[in-house]
Amino acid sequence: MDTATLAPATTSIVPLLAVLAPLCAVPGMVMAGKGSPNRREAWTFLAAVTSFLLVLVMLPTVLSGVRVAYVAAEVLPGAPLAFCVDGPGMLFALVASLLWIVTSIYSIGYMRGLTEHSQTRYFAFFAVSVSAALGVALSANLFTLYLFYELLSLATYPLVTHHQDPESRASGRRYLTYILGGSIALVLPAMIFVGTLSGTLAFTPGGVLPPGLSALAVGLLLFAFVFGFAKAAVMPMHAWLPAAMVAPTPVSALLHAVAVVKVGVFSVYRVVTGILGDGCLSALHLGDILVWVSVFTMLAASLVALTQDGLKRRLAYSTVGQLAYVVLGVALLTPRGDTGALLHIAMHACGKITLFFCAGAIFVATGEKYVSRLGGLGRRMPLTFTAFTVGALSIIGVPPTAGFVSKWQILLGAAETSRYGVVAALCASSLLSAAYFLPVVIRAFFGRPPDDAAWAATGRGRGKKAAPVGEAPRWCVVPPLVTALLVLALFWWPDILFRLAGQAGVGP
Amino acid sequence: MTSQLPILAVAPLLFGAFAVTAGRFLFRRANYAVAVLALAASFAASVLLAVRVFSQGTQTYFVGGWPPPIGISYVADPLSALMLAFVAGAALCVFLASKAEIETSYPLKNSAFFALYLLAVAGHMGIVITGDAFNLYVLIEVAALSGYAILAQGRDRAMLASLNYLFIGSLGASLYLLGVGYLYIMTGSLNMADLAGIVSGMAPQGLAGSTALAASFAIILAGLFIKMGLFPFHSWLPAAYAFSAAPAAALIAPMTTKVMAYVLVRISLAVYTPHLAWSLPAVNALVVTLATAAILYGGLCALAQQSFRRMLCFIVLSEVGYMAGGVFLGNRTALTGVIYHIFADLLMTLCLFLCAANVERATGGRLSGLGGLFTRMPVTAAALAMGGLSMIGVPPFCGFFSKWYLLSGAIQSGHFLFAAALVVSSLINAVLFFRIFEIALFGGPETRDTPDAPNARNGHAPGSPDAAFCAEMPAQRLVPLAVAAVSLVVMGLLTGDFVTRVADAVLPPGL
Repeated sequence: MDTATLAPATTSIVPLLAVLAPLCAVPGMVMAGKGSPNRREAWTFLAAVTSFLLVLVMLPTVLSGVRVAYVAAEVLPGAPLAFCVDGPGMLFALVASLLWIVTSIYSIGYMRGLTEHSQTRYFAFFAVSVSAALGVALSANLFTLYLFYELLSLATYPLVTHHQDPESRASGRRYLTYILGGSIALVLPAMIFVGTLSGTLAFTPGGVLPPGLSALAVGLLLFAFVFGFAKAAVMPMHAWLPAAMVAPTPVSALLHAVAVVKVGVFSVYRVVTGILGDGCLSALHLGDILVWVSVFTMLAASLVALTQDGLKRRLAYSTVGQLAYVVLGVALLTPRGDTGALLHIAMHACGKITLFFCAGAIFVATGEKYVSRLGGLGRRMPLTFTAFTVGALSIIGVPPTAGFVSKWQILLGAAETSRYGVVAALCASSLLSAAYFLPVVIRAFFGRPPDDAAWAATGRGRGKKAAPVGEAPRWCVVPPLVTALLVLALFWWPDILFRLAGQAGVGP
Repeated sequence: MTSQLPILAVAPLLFGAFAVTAGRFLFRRANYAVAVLALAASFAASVLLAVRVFSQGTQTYFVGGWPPPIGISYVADPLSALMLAFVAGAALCVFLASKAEIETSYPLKNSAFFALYLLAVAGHMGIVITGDAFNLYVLIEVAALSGYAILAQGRDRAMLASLNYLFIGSLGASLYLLGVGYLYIMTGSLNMADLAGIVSGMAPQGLAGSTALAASFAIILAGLFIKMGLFPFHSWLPAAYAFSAAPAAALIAPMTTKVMAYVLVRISLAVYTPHLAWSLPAVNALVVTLATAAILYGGLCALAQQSFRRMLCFIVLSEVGYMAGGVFLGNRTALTGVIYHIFADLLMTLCLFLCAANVERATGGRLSGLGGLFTRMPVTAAALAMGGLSMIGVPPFCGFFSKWYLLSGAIQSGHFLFAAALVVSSLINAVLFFRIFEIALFGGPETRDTPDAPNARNGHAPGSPDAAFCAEMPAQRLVPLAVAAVSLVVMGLLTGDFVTRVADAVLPPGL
């Protein structure tokens, strides 16, 4: 409420440009179309690099503690269509736009390697999705965030249902039911309620709610947001995520490890810190409830992941569990918890995207989708599985990988607030992630290949019959190696991310 | 010249109607051009009028130079001037898009259709701009009678549906007239501005203080609700709009219900003033309940439809509930929402009915026939997607913002049932439109062996190979559609301006 404590702001159109850059490339892609795929992909790269650079341009300003603000249109009273780049938003935008470049490279290898249909549609909607994710990252108020959140839901639908078969149709329905249903039925009324009560939807440190609301009212709002932002996949709103794994792997990689799900938890972060307010929630003891909801999600999802044989489905449940870390960090309602949560958005993104890239590379090279059939593959695809191992270690939280840094902050945050049960749950969750990832790695490097008959049968099609399986095409192998290196680098040099995430605590 | 703009907005249509009727015998080939000219002139005059009103304030025009209370006055305030421009623009869009459709749907009766079309538009525009309660009745009848006539031509039960509409519509108009009669007996005036002063003087404490005024209000409301098609007075609407030829539906569906909602707002604001209009708690509660029922009933019926246009008709019913209910939520936010929604819904309905016309021509209009629409008719499909998303209420499409204001109003006034109905309606619309998107994305072109497939008349033999790729409609049909679709976003982004310059300008400050 107290604007005096807000960081100073400078007005600049750059945030809007960063969001629009991917959109501007869409006509170019569509016009290049099927006829000249190289020109089409050049547009993707141009857009990806441009928007990354535009985000980067704002980095020094944001690091110096100044926010970058821009009002695009005065649409609703108290809720203009406006952008405001602060530390957390910058952190998320950096991650999303950087990983888009890597994913574009990977997409080309994957889509061409499998000669997928409708590639133009794929790349066009991919660009729209990234634009929407950047919009969420840079939005200044809940209305703008909601706008881009919805845009993202709609733009990812054609990506999730890319294969246009009955399975993807069913998954698409489930995806929309959870995502669109949650945002219309829960977030929209809650948002209007907040707007009616407080007259503004701007993210304000300390929240915007007027004092004196009952715990029940604020609790209802909190859970309308937490569950309504179904992209955060807090149980029981998680079921869309494993279903959405029918999408092509690069979609799963960027959208379901980075953009979509992180948009969900980022929205939860924004609402908890900027709308409802840490102080208000902790005074009403609502943080505790959210902590236990996320602890439950974390453990339950990890247990389910143990039982999954589909590699991508196992990764999906792992994502559900890891997203709960972010929600947990936010729910601690302390600066350290927020820092940990924001770091985990970045760290988990790098680790999980590596894993998905590897899963896709395995599929392109061998057609294998099941953990039980990966035996011995590590010896044939050493680069891919090295990257996979690094990613897995990061998700488990073993140093020297990036995942350790953020998990440690969340752990400290929990310990600081004397929630020792949560500390124990975090440790248990790490053990569980070890239990569902290490067997994959061990089987791949040291296990025996599945019996020869089936092995030969799976080499069907794609002109690779019975030929010894090697690495996937270079376009598919380099990106996971790059992100794996990033995972290692972020352990040693997390400094910039710390400074960005540290700005979360600015304010009363 | 510019002071004559209010009459210049309507007059070209009336002269145009005479011209095309006479031209039937004289210059038949030029008739289409004459009608376009009339519509364009009227649109241009309305836009100029709107510009003038926004820069110089409300314009009052005395028809024939006779001042009220003897003569009829035309009042162009920000609301009516903008509404005039929207109605004229929509009519022009539909007319341009439907040239080929009119020629096939009304064989040998082009001139009659042109004349009726122009009369219907003139009637609706007159309703919007008139400042006289009795003249309003006359114009309602002008609009309605020409509307019945053009809706009557169509397939299957169009004639019967239109007759049904005529009976019920006449009843509605008569009730309105009866209500105005009461008012006239009580006040001796028919001029709206004049009435407002007298009425609030007669019942300063609220309508409960004067039975006759309360009766007049109730009777006028009943008449308007019948004309709007508010549940349970809706039965004429789906059939009348669904069986008629596509151009007639695309003209009447965006106009009539919205213009009647406009009249409801106008009567509540300018004749009775909100203070009196909301002074009967029983009426408020009843209308909000009916509106809630309308929203849910329209949505549920829409779910059951197999034909695209019929589905849209039931969505219109649901949207009527938004507007009628919003007026009686009893606060400024909701009334802002209603005023906004009149415009937003006009654009959405226009966009979707134009899509329906294209889709029907290409595929026959059954939902199951929409397979592969995104590749076969990309522009139409994109417009359909935009219209659908606006109906669902996705920002930045205008449908989101009307929902925003209506929901805020409902929450402020504690009408949580109505708020819940709005949310449910959004969800139902999401199901309706994503069902279509799903068919369009997953389904292939249907093999057309249905006997009544209207595509037989556009030259493609059913099931012929080129029918599957019959691709996109000509540009003449796509440009107006694209204008309508893009305007959904433009309107959405200009919400802030709209609210300050239109809604705030006509809503009394102390509300």
